Amino acid sequence: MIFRAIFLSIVLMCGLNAKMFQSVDVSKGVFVQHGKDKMYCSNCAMSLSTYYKTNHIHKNHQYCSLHCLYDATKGNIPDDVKVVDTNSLKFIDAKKAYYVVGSDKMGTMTYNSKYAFKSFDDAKKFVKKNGGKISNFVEAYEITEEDFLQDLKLLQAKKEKKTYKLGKKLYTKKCEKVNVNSFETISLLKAKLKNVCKTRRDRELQYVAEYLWDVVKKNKVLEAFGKIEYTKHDKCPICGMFVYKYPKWVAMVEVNGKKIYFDGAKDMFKYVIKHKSKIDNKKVFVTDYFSGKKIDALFAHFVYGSNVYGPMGNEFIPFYSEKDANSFRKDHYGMAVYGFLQIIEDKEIMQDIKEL
Amino acid sequence: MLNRNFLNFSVKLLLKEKGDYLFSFIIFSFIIFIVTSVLFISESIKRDLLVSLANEGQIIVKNSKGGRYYPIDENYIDSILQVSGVDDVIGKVDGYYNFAQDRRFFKIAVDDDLNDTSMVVSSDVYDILKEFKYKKEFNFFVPNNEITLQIKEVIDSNILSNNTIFVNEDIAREILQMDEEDYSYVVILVPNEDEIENIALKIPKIFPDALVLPNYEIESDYDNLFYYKGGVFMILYIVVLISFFILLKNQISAVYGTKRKEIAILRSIGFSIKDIVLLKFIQNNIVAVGSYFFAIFFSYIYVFVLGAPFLKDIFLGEIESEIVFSPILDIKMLFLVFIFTVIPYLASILIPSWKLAVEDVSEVMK
Repeated sequence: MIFRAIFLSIVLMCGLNAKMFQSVDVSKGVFVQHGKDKMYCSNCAMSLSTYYKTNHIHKNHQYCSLHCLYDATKGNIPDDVKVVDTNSLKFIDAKKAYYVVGSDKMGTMTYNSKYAFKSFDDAKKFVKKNGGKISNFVEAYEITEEDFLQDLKLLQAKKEKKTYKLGKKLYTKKCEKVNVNSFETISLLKAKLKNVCKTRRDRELQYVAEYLWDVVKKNKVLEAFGKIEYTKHDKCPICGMFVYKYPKWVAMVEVNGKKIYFDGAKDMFKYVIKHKSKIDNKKVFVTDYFSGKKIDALFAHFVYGSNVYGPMGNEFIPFYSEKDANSFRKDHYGMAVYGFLQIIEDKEIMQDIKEL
Repeated sequence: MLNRNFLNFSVKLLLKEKGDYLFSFIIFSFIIFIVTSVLFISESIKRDLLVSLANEGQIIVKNSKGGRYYPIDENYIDSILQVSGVDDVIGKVDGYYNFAQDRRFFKIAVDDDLNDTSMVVSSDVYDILKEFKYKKEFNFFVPNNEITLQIKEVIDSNILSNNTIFVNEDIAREILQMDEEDYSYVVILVPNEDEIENIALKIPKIFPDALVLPNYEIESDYDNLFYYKGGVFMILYIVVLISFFILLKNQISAVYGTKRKEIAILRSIGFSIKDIVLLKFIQNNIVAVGSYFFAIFFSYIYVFVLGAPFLKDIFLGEIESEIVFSPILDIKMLFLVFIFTVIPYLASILIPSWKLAVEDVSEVMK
């Protein structure tokens, strides 16, 4: 029985090696860092072996990707950088390497993948098979710079939608509690979590580490604010309709501690414009169309003139993120995206929506 | 006129002709029994499927290559997460294990509460494993490896858990030979149901190979599968309907035949038309409503306690005979059955009775 258990655990450990293009077996890679977190990226704590083929070394720090190297060097093109040769898996001088940018193979932390090769011929062979363009380190670094904000946005979207939620769940369910503030880097935190969490999956550890680092340590405010709470008796003061029948559209204004509910952003605007002097703009809330969550109207983006109608016909449809608002505008033939103050101050907009 | 004596008289009169009424009672019960049993089974299966669907996300995405299912990778999850309106994308692992000794496939499903050495099996799987002397543990044979798991629990098999082995995700990947970055399918959570269709249309634009199944499509598939106005159901209903009409015909001719005199006598001893209709109404109500509840009670026991022997085989085939139906009582459906059986039955007696009652008494007595 014991032998069986040992055999099983060995088999399971072997099975854990992900089979992504970047991944290599721990025994085949070179890892130059020391300490408990030697297997994790200095910048983001992702597993170095999982993303080995895009690893970079700079000043004894090993990074999982060019994206992280760029983040760590803050945009100053560094001198002594080493990069993994995709074929031999050994580190070579980055300045002498040939980078293939934008191939079909998935990149690490970017949608524009970059793989380095020692010889020009290897790079050419790779391009023939997987596409992409051959360039040198400086060019690749500059492309990373151009893509950086875009990549960051994508990574952030994933974090907000998935990582933090799942990280929190896993932390409460599978981990012993740790004092986040006692760790200097996220990679050290992850190394500690590896010992106290009951999971073998590196990705799950990463979720927990990112949740603890961003949300608990850096007090990052999450997008989710919960929902606007209302009762069955709350009526819209503008049109007199019950708001509980239209949970997707509820808006709320707090005036002198009293909560007033509306069955859509349009009625809310009518009220706010009418009672401008009494209302604190920070205490106006609307429901995000996509997520159904309560958001500050002051920072919301309102799509006007789309083919989606609220309970009172044409609506200003509220969104938390500008990207969502624009994407919705395209899908539903919206005419424009406005901010909260724009609608309040420009009388023509309210006039227009009446005439639609 | 409705008082205790009148009720007593109605019941006495009913008991006087036990034989006639008993025949109607049995036939009528049997018809309702058949109809409600079939409806109970189909509703129960449908409900189980829909409940499981509600627990999943709003859209299911599978990957295909050359028309065959293919694992879906982490890349898909990352890309779909970027679509506006998507709240979360969750990768799921499931598949089939080839139990070569018995030439059958067991479904492998994930339950993350289990540890690395245990599994939960459905009762029909357990019966098969017992035949092969796997009473406490089972060995999965995968290429170059053997995985031994303890049987922690045996659960009832309903339409969903039937033929299934539950293990945790790591073990499931081992058994199904899947990489860590691969999933069988992903589910997408869309909080605003108005946007489901829109998002479902966007995904094939990003991944042309993806098979996108929004929940309303799957729901309508289930509805079609157990659509009680079509296919086998229709044949069954036609047979039941015909036998029902034969019963009604029998009732009507009884009224015009032997009961004819009875009504005339009642009229001549001073019963009003209203009283006669009321009398018939009470008598036949006892038969119709009584047999209605009697039949529903027995069909409930037949389906949910006894597990609907014979009828189940028609629905699911003999292989899945271990299935337990989860009990439900759909009042709407029972009301529908009431409307279509009890009301015509009563009408078939009351209308001719009334017609006879208004006729000239002396004419009938001749």
